Amino acid sequence: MTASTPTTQPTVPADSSAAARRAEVDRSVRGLVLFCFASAIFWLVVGSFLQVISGTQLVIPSFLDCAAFFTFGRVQPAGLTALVFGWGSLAGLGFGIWQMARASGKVVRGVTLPVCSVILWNLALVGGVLGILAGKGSGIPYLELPGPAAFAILLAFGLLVIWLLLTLRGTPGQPLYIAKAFFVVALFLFAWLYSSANTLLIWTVSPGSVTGPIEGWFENGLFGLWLTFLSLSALFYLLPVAAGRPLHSQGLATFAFWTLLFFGGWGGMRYFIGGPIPAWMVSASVVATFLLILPALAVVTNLGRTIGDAGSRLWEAPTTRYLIAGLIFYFSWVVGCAFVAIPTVSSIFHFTIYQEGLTLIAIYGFVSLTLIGAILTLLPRFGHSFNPASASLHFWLIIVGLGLFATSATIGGLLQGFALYDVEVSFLNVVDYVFPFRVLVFVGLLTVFAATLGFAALFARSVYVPAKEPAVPVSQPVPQNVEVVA
Amino acid sequence: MSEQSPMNPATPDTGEPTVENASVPVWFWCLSVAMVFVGALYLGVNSGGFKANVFNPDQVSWVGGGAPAGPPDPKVIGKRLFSANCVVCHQASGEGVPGQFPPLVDSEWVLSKEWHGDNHLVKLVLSGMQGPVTVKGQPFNNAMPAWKQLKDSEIAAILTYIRSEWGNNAAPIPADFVAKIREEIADRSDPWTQAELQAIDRVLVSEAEAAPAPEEAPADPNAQPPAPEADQAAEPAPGA
Amino acid sequence: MKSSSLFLGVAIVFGLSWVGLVAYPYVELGGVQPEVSEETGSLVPPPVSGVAIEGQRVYAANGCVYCHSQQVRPLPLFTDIPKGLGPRQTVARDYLRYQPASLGRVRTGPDLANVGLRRTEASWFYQHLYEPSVVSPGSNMPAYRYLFEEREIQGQRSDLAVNVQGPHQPKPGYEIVPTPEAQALVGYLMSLKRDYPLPEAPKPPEEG
Repeated sequence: MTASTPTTQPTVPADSSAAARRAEVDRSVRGLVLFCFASAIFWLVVGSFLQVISGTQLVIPSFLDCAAFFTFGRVQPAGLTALVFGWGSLAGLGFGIWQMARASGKVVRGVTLPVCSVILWNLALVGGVLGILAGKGSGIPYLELPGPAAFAILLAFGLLVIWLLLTLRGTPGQPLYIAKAFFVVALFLFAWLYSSANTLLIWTVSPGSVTGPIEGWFENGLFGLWLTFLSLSALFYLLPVAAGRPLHSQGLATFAFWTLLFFGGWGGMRYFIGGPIPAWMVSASVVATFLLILPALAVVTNLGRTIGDAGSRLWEAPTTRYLIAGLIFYFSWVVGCAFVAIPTVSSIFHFTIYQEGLTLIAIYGFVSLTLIGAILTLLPRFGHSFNPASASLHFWLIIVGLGLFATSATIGGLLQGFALYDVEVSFLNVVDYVFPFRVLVFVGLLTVFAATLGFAALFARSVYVPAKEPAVPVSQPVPQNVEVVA
Repeated sequence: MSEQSPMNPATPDTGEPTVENASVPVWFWCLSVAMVFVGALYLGVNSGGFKANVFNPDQVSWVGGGAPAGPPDPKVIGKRLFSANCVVCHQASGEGVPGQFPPLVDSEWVLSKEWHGDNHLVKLVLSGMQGPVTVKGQPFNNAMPAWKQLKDSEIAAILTYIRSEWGNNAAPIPADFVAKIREEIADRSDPWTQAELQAIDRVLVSEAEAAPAPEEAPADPNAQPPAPEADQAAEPAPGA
Repeated sequence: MKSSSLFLGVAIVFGLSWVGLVAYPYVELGGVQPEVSEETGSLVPPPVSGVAIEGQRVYAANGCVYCHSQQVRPLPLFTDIPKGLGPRQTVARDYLRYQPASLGRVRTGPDLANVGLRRTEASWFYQHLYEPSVVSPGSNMPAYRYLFEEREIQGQRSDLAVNVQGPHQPKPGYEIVPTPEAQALVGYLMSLKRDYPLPEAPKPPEEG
């Protein structure tokens, strides 16, 4: 297969040649992007499995209590770490790489460096997750990875970003589409967030009085900026393309970008309302968390008006249905965070199952639905066809799980919150009240885990096994023997 | 090829997404401005004066500013200092030792009764006392050392403590009163005698405050106010 | 927009949150020192033993923070103080001695900010860690038997030996003793007493 040099810009004489060009670009990054996705899905399955174990332990405390390796306090952070740093991050990176390749129109030739980076990332995460299970975790949420593993991840990330910027830079003067802006800035923010937090809390020792602010700032940035930007990037790219329409408003998109960046950074102390953090910092975070509704509203309005009456068509298709649901859960998650940031509400709902449910909604609702949708959208380009009915089944399984999370978070959180608040209720009674809702969460986690297994199988089959009767017609199957890794 | 090679059934591969420039709706701007305004107002009211040592926004609003908390109770500090410095002679009970060390309980010296004033009490603590004295009708003849090395606030705390403990009930002694007396007798190094003290006019804290002397009234409403009424002062504010 | 000006803008806008929520507390809260309390004449927060510092690592490594918070929130909005979680609000200086602090996000288990005030006997902690459901029926805490070892009684029974109740009895002639890790952890838990006075954390008046 002939490929022009990466520096040559594509000329667009006709529609068909542009499409051929796009196919060529796709093929050149196919191996790299699929490797990112495969790694991500591996971590999605691992993380969800660990979540099922820890969810079981909340219902049956004696489950696997024989060994230190499987204790709740290690399995829980190991699972969350796998989901955030393995699944969400790698899937978002994979999509971003494809998107940048598409935007630059360049055919990539050498992918050794990025593939090695992703390998290093995976190895670091394997070591790190095993380290957490072996008791080497730091005890700080989302900064659990032992120092060397965190360093290796940052190194892998750095190499990947350098390669991306050297290889897939856009043409100067080319207008920057909002999806690409979200992705590129996400890279910058992750480097800042993760290096800063690790430097202050993991690689060096800081007094305990500053742990709270820094971990709050990091956790909030990890979800509210890094994962949010990656996912919004996919939504802003794919939904207009799927609808076959231009994005409704550049102004609303720009507004969302900058307000998200500003308020997203300041929201971190919402985890510590009433906690040992100076009052003004907590109040600033309360306001910022609340004002995050504005960019969320801007995103929903913008994408909603872009889709317009194509909405029902997009909802029919099993792939874009994921994206639309991801958008809805994004908004619900932001509103859910703002709700519990109201100090009066926080006095009831904080420290309850509501907060756990909110995290699950962010991970499985917003991030996972969006990125699964993105992967499914790209799959026919890279692999073979897949069965839409199967994708639809996974979708509804996840939705059932999310429904259970939301129910237990709101009703269970309310009950548990009032019980925790009430001076007359003893703690062991609180445990009793919340028990049924922990069972619901467990069932939800089980359902979601089943869906992730099915999704992983679908992905593997689509990449490796040509379907006999393609349910989704792909006119030009990608040849299997393409040399992708130089 | 673009038409026949869909990314998926719903997604024709039409290339890069494009963008229109619909303007941001007016209602959206209005909502944004309103929310930011309310947010700023909330932050202003709940900022705790933007201080790093204010942890409860309900404690101090930005209007009040100032220190986050009242200073610790002088009586608690006074008790500690009394235990460390005074109990050897005056005993923890404040009863003293008959014939050797005078009692503090119901003592006219401590409570500023008869000819005794608050100024006398502070003076004798600062510079010490020796020679014959009469306390509650009993004669004593011993020496009390000077306590100049203690800070004004510490002497004030001790005196406030002994004037409110064991059934005693007299006005607290503020630190600036001690400071004023210390200044007055700055060049005195000898201990006092009863006769010397009796020759000095009696001054009470309440009078000293009423005088035009530049007293710094505590501006902070959270600070423990030195109560102006002498007879109520030792009581904790009811219902506080 | 040019990419250089985009990144400058991003750096400034996001950097503000870094300055406010990372650099500022690092200087202002990281710089606070223990000081001699006017009220008690002793150092606050009081120094913490090396065993407790070691135990903090055990606490972190076993993820106790994923169920237990360590924060007492103030009146009037929160009921932590009337619920007996502590005599006063916890403030930044309360965490000075521990690196890192484990503030926690959830109360799947009870708050531990002042567990050392509520429980003063090491033997209770050992029993509870060994088999929580026996000591606190209805508790959903997992057992931490891996922090204990079963060993043959050498002459006299060890002072530390756990008075085991419930199903996991040692073999006859054997006893259950806490490992050094468990001893450190219990030392840490018993050190959690935030009742000393701090000027920035006034105690609420008695009659609430």
